[in-house]
Order: sequence, then C-alpha cells, then structure tokens
Amino acid sequence: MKITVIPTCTPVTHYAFNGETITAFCAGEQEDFDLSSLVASAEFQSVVVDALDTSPSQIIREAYRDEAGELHVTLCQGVGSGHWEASDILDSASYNPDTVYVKLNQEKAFSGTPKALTRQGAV
Amino acid sequence: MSRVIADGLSEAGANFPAMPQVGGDPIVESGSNADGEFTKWADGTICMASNASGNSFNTSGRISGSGMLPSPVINTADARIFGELDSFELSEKVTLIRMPLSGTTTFALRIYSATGSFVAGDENDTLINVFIFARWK
Repeated sequence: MKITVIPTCTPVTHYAFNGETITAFCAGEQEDFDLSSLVASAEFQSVVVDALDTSPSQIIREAYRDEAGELHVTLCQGVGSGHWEASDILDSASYNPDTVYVKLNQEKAFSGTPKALTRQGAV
Repeated sequence: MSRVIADGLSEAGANFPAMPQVGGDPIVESGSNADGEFTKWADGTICMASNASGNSFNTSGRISGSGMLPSPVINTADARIFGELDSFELSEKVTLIRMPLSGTTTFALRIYSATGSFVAGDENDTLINVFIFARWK
C-alpha cells in the first residue's frame, strides 16, 4: 500500500497497517478501516467512523486502487502553527508512527511554535 | 522520504513586532495546511480561509458537498461563514448558498436553486472560496 500524508487539524495521532486494513489511533481509542473491498473501478467517497471522535475526512481523505492492484491512500496528520505541505509518497511498510511526515515550509512567516501530532503526542 | 522533527525548530520567518495586534496582544498562532489558512488572535477569535465543492445533486434543485476547516473551533454556533461561488457554469440560477458547520472541523455545503433542477455535472462546477469567523477558545 502506498500512502501520502497531508497536514490537517485531525486529532488522530498515528496509524497501523495490516494488509489493507488501516488502524487509526485517537485519544486512547482505535478503529480499523478495511479498504480491501475498494476495487480499481470504484470511486472512494468516505469511510464510516464508529469509535473515533472525529470526522471521516480527518482520517482517510482519499483512496484508490491502481490498475496494477495496489492501493493508494491519503492519510491525515495533525498540525498546528506553521505552513505545512503534504508528504512524499511512501510505502506503508516503512511507516513509523513517531515520525512527522508532513513538511514544514519555513520560508513563509507564521506565528507560534510549529508542532505536529505523532504517537508521542504533539512534537 | 522527507522527515521533519519539530523539537527545536525555530520560528524562522516570524516577525512578531511587525505583526498586527489586538489590544496589544499579538497573533497567537497562524499557519496553513491542506484545508486552508488560519489566524488565531489572543482574544479568542479565529479567522480562516478554505474552500469547498459540491459532490452530489438532486433533481429538487440542491447541490450538496462539504468542506474542512484548517483549524478546529470550540463552538459551532458562534461561527460565521461567508462564501464566494467561483463558477459561471451552473445550469440554473443559484438562489441560496448555506454552509453550516457540521462539527468542530467540518462544514456542509448546500447550494439551492428555486428556478429549476440542477443537472449531472453541475456539482463539479461549484468551487466556493470560504471565509470563516469563529472562536478557538
């Protein structure tokens, strides 16, 4: 599975991957999202959230399966001050829940201290 | 892979003396992300810019969609949202645009026409530039 991480105000701290199931972690709760039923011709609209206290778009923003059968997923990482941009595309096998994947653009002025959410909290 | 660890990051580029103030209090926080731009003021006001688009329509003259706030608000009832419909392509005249907050980080988009029914494809021509006044504390 290929993933891209975009900066948003999500409270989700990190994710885990098991096959094509993504587990999102938020405020001591976790929820599984099985994307295996997403076929190449399908147009992703949203996941359904039951356990986590946030909106679906703040967890999995986009997903599609390419013609080779590989799943591509856009996940959210929470950020605060600063001008943040999307991550590079990475393989889910290399995902580290303690890493800030979104990119901070330090060339643009902002107020406050830049921080992003990981498994360790706001770092 | 790009990796940024925020510990020890400087506030490079920030020029606090040059920034506008409210009653002597500076801007508390500002920035941007995938959902838009935001500025938090010391008095609790937050101003945000974002956008939204429709993603479905019905034959009763309504296009529906949703948008995301770049920073959460604490009270949805206090929020005021203004929008500019950036489209000349719709098949019907727009009578009303509503963008109520549907949560602390989300808002709904409803575009109504009292003159007739929208047609398939209209929902794709509904980019709205959104400006939000709300409270962050």
